[in-house]
Amino acid sequence: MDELEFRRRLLAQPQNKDKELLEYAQQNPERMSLVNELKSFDKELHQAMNVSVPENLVDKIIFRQSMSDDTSANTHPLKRSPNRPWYLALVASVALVFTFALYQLNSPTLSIGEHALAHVYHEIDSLEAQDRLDMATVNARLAELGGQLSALPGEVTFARFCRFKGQKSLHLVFNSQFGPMTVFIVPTNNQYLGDDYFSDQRFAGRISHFPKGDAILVAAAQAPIDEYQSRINQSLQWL
Amino acid sequence: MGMADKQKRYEALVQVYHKELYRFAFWLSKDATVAEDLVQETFLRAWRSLDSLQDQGAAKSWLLTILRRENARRFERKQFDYSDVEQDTLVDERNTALDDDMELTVLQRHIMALPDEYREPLILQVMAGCSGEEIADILNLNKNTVMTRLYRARNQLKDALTRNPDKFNEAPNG
Repeated sequence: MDELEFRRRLLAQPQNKDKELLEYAQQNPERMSLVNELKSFDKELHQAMNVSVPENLVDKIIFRQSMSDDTSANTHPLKRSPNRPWYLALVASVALVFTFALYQLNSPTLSIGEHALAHVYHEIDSLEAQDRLDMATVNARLAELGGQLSALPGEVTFARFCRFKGQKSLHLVFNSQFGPMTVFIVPTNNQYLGDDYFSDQRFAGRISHFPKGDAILVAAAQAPIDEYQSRINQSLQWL
Repeated sequence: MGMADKQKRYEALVQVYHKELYRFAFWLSKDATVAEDLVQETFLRAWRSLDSLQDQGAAKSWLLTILRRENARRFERKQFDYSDVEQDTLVDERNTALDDDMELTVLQRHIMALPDEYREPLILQVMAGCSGEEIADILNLNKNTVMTRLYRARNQLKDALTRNPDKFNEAPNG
């Protein structure tokens, strides 16, 4: 080994534990000081590289997987491939039940509000849906979950079943003068997790609890959401 | 493998490796938002092909490799997205985005300024604790090339720090 070779190997790998390299270093104090200098330089590098990781990243990753094609294809027609054989949907729906059961048991639990926001972001295209659905169509679907709506305060552009925290639910979007708003009708009665008010920079949401289920409204942060919440609540009946 | 086992195994991978993957993504993309997307895409792909991961010991290299491929895809897509935008503008936007994302120290800026081919193996070695063989595997290079690049990476950094210790304290356009 010569100086050049020593330097090359040390700079490539300061933590190198190669015997030959270390013996060569020990023959000369200058070489030893380079060894130590590079070790402490690597410590600084390590610190500089350890940028902070966003909070909730684990939740987001697991949520995204739980909402992914493989597990929720059957309940998310937006993402369904028309060529997929029908039995795959069945397999997926069985998988979905397991996934969600496990997700809820094993994962850091998202509150209803967090889930609602993540759900809206996950299906952000739904806010731009252009379908025009009459209340009869909406109610035909809602009836399956035991609900009826006399009206919504705006034209309904999206009405599909989805999984909301593992529960088969109806995902509705209607156009208001304050932009599209999302309503989740979730037929369950014991998910009093978290706050009934939630928001982030873009959206605000309200959760209304009924004996047979929840109605969750998500609207643009600036919209008069309480007014819309009470109009929806007045219109919603449980059968 | 049963669904329940698969889910458990997946969540364990997420818990153990999400930080390293995020940091690798950050240093590849130089953008916190893009990094988060990359990590999510990576884990989604990992979920879909989890059955192909036989050797748990290889999980880290496997995930880092997927992430790197995802990052390459991003550039393929970008080529089409921005085909009619002048390249100068793109560079400017990127620098601004970076400054907004986080305050970077001088050392971090010097790491950013390294050519990709030197920065990548250095991040894998120092941040992710990968061996020379693992890096060679992830980057699809032979080990000698990897060692040469690691040597040059540190050499350039030390050089830059000695010559211009405060270079990056000046305004980017100054």
